[in-house]
Amino acid sequence: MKSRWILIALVAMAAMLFSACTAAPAAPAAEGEAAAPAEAGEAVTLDTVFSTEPPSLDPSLGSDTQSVWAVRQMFMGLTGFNEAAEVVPSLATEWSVSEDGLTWTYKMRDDVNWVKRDADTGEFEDLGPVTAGDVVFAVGRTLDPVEASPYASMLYMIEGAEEFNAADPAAENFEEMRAAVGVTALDDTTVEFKLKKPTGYFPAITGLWITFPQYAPAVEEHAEQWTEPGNIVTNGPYTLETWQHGAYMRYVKNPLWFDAANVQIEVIQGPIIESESTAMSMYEANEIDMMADPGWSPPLPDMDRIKADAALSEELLIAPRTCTYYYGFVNAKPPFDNPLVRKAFAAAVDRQSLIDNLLKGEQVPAHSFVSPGNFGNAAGDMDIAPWMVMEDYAAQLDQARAWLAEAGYPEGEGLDVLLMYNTSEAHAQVAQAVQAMWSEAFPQATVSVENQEWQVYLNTLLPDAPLEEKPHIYRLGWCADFPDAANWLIGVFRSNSDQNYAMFNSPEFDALVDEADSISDPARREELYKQAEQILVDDVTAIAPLYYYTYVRLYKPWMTNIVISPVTGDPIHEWTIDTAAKAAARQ
Amino acid sequence: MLTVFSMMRALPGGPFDFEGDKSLAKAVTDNLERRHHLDWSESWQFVSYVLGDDVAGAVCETIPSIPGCDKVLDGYKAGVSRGVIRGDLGMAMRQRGRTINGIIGESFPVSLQLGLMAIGFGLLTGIPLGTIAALKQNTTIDYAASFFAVLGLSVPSLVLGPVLIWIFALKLGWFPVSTWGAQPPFFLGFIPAPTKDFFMHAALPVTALGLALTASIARLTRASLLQVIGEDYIRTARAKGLPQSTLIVRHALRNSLIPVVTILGPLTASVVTGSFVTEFVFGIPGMGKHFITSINNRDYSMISGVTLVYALLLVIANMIVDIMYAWLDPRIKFE
Repeated sequence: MKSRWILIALVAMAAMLFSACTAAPAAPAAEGEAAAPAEAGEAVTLDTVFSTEPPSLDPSLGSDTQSVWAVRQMFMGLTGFNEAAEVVPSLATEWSVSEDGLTWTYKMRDDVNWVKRDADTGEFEDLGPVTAGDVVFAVGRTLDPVEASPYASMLYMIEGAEEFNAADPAAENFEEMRAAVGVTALDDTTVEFKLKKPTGYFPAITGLWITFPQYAPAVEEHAEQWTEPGNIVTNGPYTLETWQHGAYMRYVKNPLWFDAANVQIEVIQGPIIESESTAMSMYEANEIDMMADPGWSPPLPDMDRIKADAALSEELLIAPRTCTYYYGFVNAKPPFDNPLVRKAFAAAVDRQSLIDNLLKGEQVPAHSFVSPGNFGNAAGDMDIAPWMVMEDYAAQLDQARAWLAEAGYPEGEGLDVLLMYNTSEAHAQVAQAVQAMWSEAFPQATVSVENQEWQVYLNTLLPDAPLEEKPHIYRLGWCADFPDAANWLIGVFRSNSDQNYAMFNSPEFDALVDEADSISDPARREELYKQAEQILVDDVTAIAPLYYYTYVRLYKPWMTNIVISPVTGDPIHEWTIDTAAKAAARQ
Repeated sequence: MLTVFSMMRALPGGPFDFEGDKSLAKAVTDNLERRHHLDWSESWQFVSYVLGDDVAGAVCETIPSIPGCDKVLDGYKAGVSRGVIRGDLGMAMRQRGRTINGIIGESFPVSLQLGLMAIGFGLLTGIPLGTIAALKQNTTIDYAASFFAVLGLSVPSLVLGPVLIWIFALKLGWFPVSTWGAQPPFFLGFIPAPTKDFFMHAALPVTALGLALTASIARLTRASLLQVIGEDYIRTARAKGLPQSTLIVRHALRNSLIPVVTILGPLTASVVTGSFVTEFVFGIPGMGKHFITSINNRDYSMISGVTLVYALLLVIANMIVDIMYAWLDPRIKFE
């Protein structure tokens, strides 16, 4: 008989569970509520999603879009970037460089204060002005090998920086090496950087989040937990209120910020949603106000519908972005050690058709590596590789065939080419389209495509990996860390770069970019970068740039005054929301 | 554990080779690896993972001549893990300052809630459906139920989820599109407050995850019940004059549930540790995604952590299944 009672108990439990599961569909009263999660008070709120959990909110440690976006909302650095990706004053009001180009001096404003939001009471505490010492502390922390910042190498042009970052923390002279890093506070509002070689683009480096000042007492007191709500001390327009790891984030306006009177949006909040199509559904249900960083762009499969839809097409905003998508040739691997073969394959891609039929984001066909928006880009200079982006694609194709025939492979006879990309639906589509274009252009050639998982892929491509395992052609993109051609040409294709997967080696190119690196005259630097591009893309054709990226975004009509920064981290404090329109739409 | 530990380290690529598209400077990679003791020899990493850094350090302090001890002595004071043996799964490699315990601790309860509700949904719809199909064998009802079962099995939640969202959230506006309605702290660590908000958010994902379970449970129940009904003891019971309802519920159904319970063990373990797809589609902060992303990121400690939790649950679930056997079928006895 005992078993009967167990059975009854089980059935009862099951019934409870069942009613729990099915009770919800029976509740009809919840329509409006479902679309609009409860809001706290009347605060002007920007509802968004976050595409992933930020790996770190620590300015020294962030390296991905999500982290950098957050750091830029919460912190102010010496310099910043405007809409055209030019360096503009931020925390620093002015800066100057010594005659020899080795010493940079920044004067800082004195009215930006550190604030901390009390997690229990919600009160903001003023912790005094941001000083030059806070910048020195932050730079030292980024370079500290114990902190292991992934972006530390960006600061290696500072005197003593590379040595300190590569030092063994157990070494006896470790503290001396820390002190030898060439950044000093001359007084509370003056900070001086000593460099080991002249670096014309240094003001862009001080706009990188890894140099943003940090409040030492908070870091020392809470160690790795200092970026949690209630611990974090910030100096920017917003600060962190809630961080439910993996689930939800909420930033609130810093009322003590020096320019707080001009900040309209008081709250930025949203769940972490890793599916872009789910985010799109939320956007269409008016649950979120935008499809943009830190969330998702509209999904590719929805683009045709968005463009055809009267309302959605009005909400679509396409803006330039400092990234380039390219196919690299492994220059050392036959037959791609022949420039004519590389040129032929680079020319036999109909970039405009790729954009119109596949990518659909109004990307721009590329004929140079450095994308528009970067200092020293040659995207507007049609002297560089015009044969990649001809109006008349048939003529371009003829040229490609002629080159391949000249190289000894008429119609691609005898060619067996492997194109590799990292596993992803979007890259697969591009690869298949390009494969078809090549097969059509060179009917005798065999073009195969292969994909590898990301980490494996990058290891295959590393310059010192075995040549026989490498493909002939690989896919990659590059996005600016800071908007200057130095980050592109030196960072990727200088002969000694770790990222030089093309194994491109030209002493002439190296000399040009080195010279550009060492001077600060903008006109001369631009000229040198153009010459370098000429070699890389046109003369040698180490790579085939395909297109310059764009930001594709959707903003609800009540989002006004949108300012987009081509570098990560839009200035949301400059945006405004028509709250009445938003409330009406959410009814 | 050792297998997972060494297999993942044998994969090409480490957690700190690259950041996004970009390869890292040698010094930077070294710094990051030192931070997570990846500069130690693999066997010492394993010792540290299982027993703790302090144990590894103590051993090396005593006998510094063991190979690999120089690195251990350099780094063990920085402390990465207190050892699985003391319940510490270590530090996450790709999320700064976060422990695996912390990450699993906040994502697992959510997956557990979703999973248990989905299993409940599956059982409560699947068993009746299967029973009806078996009793009305070869009638329209049977075919309809079978059709539904095949449909439920063959439509993956990757498709079902967005369809449910489209119909019930976008077109009808009955439910929110995504996210989870419950937040910690939970009663007993995993039971959420039964608010309306919670059930509104749960309805669609539970349905999406549960329908596939319904389908497989219904099919199994039907097949097994048909077999049991044909057995001698059922004929005997019927001959005794037992009413049909008692016969089916008490005698036939109970025995026919053995195969259902058998698959329920592994099914539960996999469902409650998180369904990657359902959680992904509905934006639920559960554990499922960690299985996938940790491998792509080569986050060694996370891979070990989620694998251990999964293994533990599998053992527990199978134990419960064994106990259920004895209750369902008196012929099965524990020695």
